[in-house]
Amino acid sequence: MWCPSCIIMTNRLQKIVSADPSLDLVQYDFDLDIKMVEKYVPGKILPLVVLEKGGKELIRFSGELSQKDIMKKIGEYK
Amino acid sequence: MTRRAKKALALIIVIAMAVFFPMTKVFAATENEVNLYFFYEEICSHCQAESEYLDTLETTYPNIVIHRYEVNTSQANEELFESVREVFGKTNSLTPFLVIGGVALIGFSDQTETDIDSLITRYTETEHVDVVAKIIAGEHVSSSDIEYLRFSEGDYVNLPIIGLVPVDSVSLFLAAIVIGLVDGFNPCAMWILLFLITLLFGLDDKKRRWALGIAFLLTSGIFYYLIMVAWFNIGLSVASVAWVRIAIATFALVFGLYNLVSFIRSAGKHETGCEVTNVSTKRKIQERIRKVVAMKNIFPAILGIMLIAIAVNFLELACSAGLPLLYTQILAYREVSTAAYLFYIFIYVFFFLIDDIAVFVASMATLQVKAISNRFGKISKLLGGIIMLVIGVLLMFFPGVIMLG
Repeated sequence: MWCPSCIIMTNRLQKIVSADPSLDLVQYDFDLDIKMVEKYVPGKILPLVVLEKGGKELIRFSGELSQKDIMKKIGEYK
Repeated sequence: MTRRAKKALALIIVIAMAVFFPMTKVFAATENEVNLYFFYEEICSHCQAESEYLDTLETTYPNIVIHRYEVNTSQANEELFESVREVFGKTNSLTPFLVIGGVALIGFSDQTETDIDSLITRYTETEHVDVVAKIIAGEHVSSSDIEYLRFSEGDYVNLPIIGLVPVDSVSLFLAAIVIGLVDGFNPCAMWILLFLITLLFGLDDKKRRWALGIAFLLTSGIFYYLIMVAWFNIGLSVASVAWVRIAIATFALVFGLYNLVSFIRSAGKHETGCEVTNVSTKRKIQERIRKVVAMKNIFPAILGIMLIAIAVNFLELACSAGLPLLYTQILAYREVSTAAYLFYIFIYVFFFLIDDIAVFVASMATLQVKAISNRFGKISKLLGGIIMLVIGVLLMFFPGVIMLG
């Protein structure tokens, strides 16, 4: 892990997931999990957050977001 | 203007003052006698008030001589007043206009009374240039003859945290702190420290974790320090060459504009994160760090980390070269002593590294990797760009401001 924004977002996502049992957090390292990186094609800004349900992608967003904004985005698809 | 823009503007003003606020020079004049040159108009009420105050001083300070010039009724007085105003760069200033030594006091208030007293005390005790006497004698007045009210050589300023600092060093000192901090928030080399920290968490030996991290930070600091010392010495050898100054100014303007454009572009995207660049190079470096951290013997591991720190800082130099290069050029133009430039560069590098030190210490103490938001990197880019533009414009069009302070 080398990206400050990824560290910050990891902390925020972990808080959200720990408070909501319907959510599960799976993390992939950009430099180690090359296959997953090829699958999701993150683009030029990290981190990439992808919300999936039943294997289907619902929404994705990149970069740093506040906890409130993340919850708002997730809330739209719950 | 947004709050962020206002903060940025305020910081720029502080930086500009810190870099370019002129300090004092002291030369010889008549011992203990202090001449006060008072330019006034009969019809001006403030002049009348100041004149009365000056009358009271003649009994308090027997060593002062007050020269009074009514500028409306005498052609000679008016011409002298014009020459004096021109020398002080105050061509539009009106009366009352009082000159003591190398200081001009314009207008009259309670503060002026305090200032007059301070100046008389200062000049009674120290030698000084009598600027108006030089003008009357037809001698050349150099910019170094002009003084400023608050400080004189030998005075100290009490800075928060830092403590007492000689006043003639304050501008370069503050510039080292501010520019070093702005430069430090540039995230170019931060990624490698964060990556190292995450690997260090995998080590059981606490001492080893600290040793490797400190080795990385120390080597980064020493490397940056040596690079800046080298730039200073190159700058010193070419400081008098006009086209070099123009080239450095052009460099500052181009880099400054580039940083501003980058900031505007990233601001427009409303997306703050880590840009994916040089993927293969970064992955190679990560692999080397993994191998070094995994070494059983601590000494080759430290050596390996030090070599990686040098390599990474060298590779990332182009990313953050603008500000340290310009700061060393300012030092070169000011012709500071060897001990002084070594000290200023030390201060610069310390503040450059302070965010890295904070992240490392906080992470090691809590065993949770701490990071500083990339938003700070964006702001650093904006501030760095503005600082470079200001220095570029001054070097290009007003070099005297930087060279002479």
